[in-house]
Amino acid sequence: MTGDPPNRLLLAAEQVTRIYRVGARALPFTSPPHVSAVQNVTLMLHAGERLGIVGESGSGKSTLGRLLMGFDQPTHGRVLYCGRDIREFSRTERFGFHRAVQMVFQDTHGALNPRLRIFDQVIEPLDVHRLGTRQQRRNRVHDLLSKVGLPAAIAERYPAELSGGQRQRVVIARALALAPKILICDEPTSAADVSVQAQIVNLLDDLAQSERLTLVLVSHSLAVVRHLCTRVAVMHSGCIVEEAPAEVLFHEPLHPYTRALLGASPALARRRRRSTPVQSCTAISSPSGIGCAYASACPDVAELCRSAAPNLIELVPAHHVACHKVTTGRRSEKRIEEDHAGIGA
Amino acid sequence: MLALVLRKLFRAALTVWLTVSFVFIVLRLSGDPAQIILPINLVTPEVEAALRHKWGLDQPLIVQYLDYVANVFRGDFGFSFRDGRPAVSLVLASLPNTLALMVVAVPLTICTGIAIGVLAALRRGRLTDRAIMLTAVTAFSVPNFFLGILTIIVFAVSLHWLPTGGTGSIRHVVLPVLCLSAAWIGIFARFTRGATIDVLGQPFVTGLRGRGIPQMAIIRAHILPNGMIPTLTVFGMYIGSLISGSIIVESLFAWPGVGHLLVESVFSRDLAVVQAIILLASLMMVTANLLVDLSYGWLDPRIRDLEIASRVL
Amino acid sequence: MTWHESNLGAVRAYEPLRRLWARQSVRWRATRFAPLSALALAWLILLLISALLDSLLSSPDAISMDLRARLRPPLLFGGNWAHILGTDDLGQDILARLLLSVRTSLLVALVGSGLGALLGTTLGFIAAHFRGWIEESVQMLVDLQAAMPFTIIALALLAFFGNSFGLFLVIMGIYGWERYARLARSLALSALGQGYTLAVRSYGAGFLRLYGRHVLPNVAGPLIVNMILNFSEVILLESALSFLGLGVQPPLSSLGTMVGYGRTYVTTAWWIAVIPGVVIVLTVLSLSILGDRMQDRLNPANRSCR
Ligand SMILES: Nc1ncnc2c1ncn2[C@@H]1O[C@H](COP(=O)(O)OP(=O)(O)O)[C@@H](O)[C@H]1O
Ligand SMILES: [Mg+2]
Repeated sequence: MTGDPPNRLLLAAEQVTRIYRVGARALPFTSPPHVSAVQNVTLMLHAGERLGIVGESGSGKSTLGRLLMGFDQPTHGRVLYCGRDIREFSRTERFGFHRAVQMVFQDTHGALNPRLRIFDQVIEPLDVHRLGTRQQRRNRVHDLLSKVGLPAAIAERYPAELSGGQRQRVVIARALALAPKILICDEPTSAADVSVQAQIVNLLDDLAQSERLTLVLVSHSLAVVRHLCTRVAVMHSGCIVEEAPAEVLFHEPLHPYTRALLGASPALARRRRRSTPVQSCTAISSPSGIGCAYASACPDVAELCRSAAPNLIELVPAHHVACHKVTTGRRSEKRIEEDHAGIGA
Repeated sequence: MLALVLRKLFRAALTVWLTVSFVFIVLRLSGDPAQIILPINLVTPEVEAALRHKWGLDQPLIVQYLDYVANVFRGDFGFSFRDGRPAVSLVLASLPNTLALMVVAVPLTICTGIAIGVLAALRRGRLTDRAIMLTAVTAFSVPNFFLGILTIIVFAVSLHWLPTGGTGSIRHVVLPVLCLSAAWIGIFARFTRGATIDVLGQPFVTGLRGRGIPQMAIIRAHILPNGMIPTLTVFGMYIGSLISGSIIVESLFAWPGVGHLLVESVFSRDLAVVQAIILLASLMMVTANLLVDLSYGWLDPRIRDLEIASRVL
Repeated sequence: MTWHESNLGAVRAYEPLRRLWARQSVRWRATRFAPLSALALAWLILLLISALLDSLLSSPDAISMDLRARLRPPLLFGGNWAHILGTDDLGQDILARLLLSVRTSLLVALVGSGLGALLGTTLGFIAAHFRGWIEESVQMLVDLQAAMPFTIIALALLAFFGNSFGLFLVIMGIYGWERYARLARSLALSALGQGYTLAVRSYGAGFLRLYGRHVLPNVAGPLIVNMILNFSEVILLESALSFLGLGVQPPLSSLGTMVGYGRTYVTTAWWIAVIPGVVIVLTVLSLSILGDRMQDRLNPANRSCR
């Protein structure tokens, strides 16, 4: 593992859109109904960063995670790793990419093969990549298990014989086996109960430090993101509506959706009570293209919001927001130029 | 809906075409027909060449294939190598005999199967049910050639009630029909039972019972129509399998139908006739499936939607 | 639960009969001990042991002809202990021939259904893995296979290509592949939605490792049930073709060949045809009952009141 200089751009999504078909075409040669799970998202991930992606269920967080992992191909746009489109990787480059970017799955989705012992599952990435001798691989497995706080004896068990928290630790150990640079965690805590959640969060925190990981944390739990992340992107209906350093976002949210979200988050509700409840508004329900997807639920909706979709604009350095109301308000104050097209430029 | 029908029609036609082409090419690859049919010691090269020319066997395979397809569209399936008659007329001559068996077998199979199935469902879990289902599974497990031999031994050889084979009277029909039907009666019984149990479990049936409507009326008006939908698929397969089913039964009972003709033609390598029969069987299967598919949509619009959904997901 | 793709009674046409049949599985006995299944299992084990023992003890041409003891009936029908199941017209012991034929029939069924399982499962996994046009073409092949009169085509192929045991085995294998393919595809699709397969892919494991080590062990149950059903179907098809003289050829003999041979003697020596026929029926019946039972076991929630 070469020590990346901090702030080096590792992974980037460039105007990525992923459209799924969700039904049959009514007649041949007509276009079938579809949903944009991810809509024109641009996102940068720098070495050493801990990026949180929050949003309600169905807002496209997991799809974005899958796109970043290369599990799914974007309909438009591209995903770059170290400046190279991941679709254009050669075989060896792809192998290197697999080593560098790993994912932690939610346990409820059966992230462990029920038919294999824990040992066989944790050692498998090492086998696939032929790292070290057999003995070295064995030792590495026991190292990894102790790193995530599991006793060595667990290696001989099957997933069904473990508790939920233990399984999640195994999943993390397996993801760390190849010593990745980037760890993408999709809802790592949502399956566990509260005390286990805290343990997992602390574990991720420690590991990110000791293994010098760059983290992407997909979660609908603002508390977890707030605890772990340095930068937060808020997703709504497949779009990023606000993106800012964590402290800034939590203290000074600009987008009405973020504000609603903060108000609805139980752990943070004590601080902010004034906001409106979040209304569920998934990608399907928003008519494609026209207007802001949040317009139907927004408390300060304006005429413009229904006719034109707002762009993500860097209002304050490092603070991006996609909201007509906010930008026009600020613009009149600060006279920011019209054509701030977004952060990707 | 129209688009659906058209797409299904197109797929059906494609299936038949692919089947016919596959059979044509593979069977031609199996050997030179001229070599097979000509008696070896009598043939002079001139005779052989003349025959080859007459049957188009001197052309490249692709030309033969195109010729064949073009002729099929004109209703010309070539000539039997055995007696020189057109293959179509041979098949058409034996078809009525096969149809005669089916006209008896199909209604018998369906009525008996459904009746037994409903009975088993109504007596579900009891001895009657178990006995019927065990009989059904057994019937499904007896190959028809063996059933044929058993019935010949019992009813023809030992008891002298029925003839061992041939045609002529209604008594000649009994054993072939029995052998054609037994397994399918079992299948229909099992499916009807399942479908009926499903309907019986639905709240509206309980409601009807509660209102004191007689059992038979409920069965006739509600259970049968609703229970028929899953059984329809089996019906399609049944119709599609009739020709293959008749192969063994007809040759066992010396019944001069299409199946009998097929076995004879296959053993004498009568290419044109074999191809014509395969086309016929393929058409029957595809048509039966098509009709079943379409009547699903007609009987129950929900299924039409489901079908669409299942194709997409 | 994807084993039952559509439980709403909306069964696709073309869906193989045997799978539909299996879906209707009848619960033979609600309790743990199922006498019928036990009997079925006992019969199959007996068959297997006798076939194995026989192949250890005798060789195919070791059946002696005893021309003085021709057409002897079985023991309970006037025969004697020397030929428990009687003899045929050459004075060959029916029991000895039966054991040989069981061996051949089981071998053909095993190779045939094994071939079908291998081909179908592989194609099904490939379709699920690669999606796109590869999946489309596999599905087209599956539909085509299901919609063509396979028995008739097999008959024609065997007759036109002459008696080749290899071709016969291949045809037996092709007979059932499309059910495995359909089943394997839908099972693999559901497994691919699970985190563990994503994880395996995320560290770059190849096709063989993903499907051989991870997917297959997790979806084996339904495939095995299908194999049991397919096994009995291959026995039926094999014996039907052999009965017509187009399947297993002399000097080999199978159960179907024996019934076909005995057909000539129905008036004089019924046992020559009936005894092997009964063995076929008992075998297929046992497989059906066991298949039902396994189906029930796999899916305890599935229509458990049946
Ligand atoms: N494979 C797929 N096919 C069709 N629609 C999908 C697929 N995956 C996700 N979607 C749709 O995309 C949207 C976003 O889903 P997802 O990324 O899972 O959201 P989240 O993880 O934020 O809950 C949802 O509306 C979902 O229905
Ligand atoms: Mg998600």
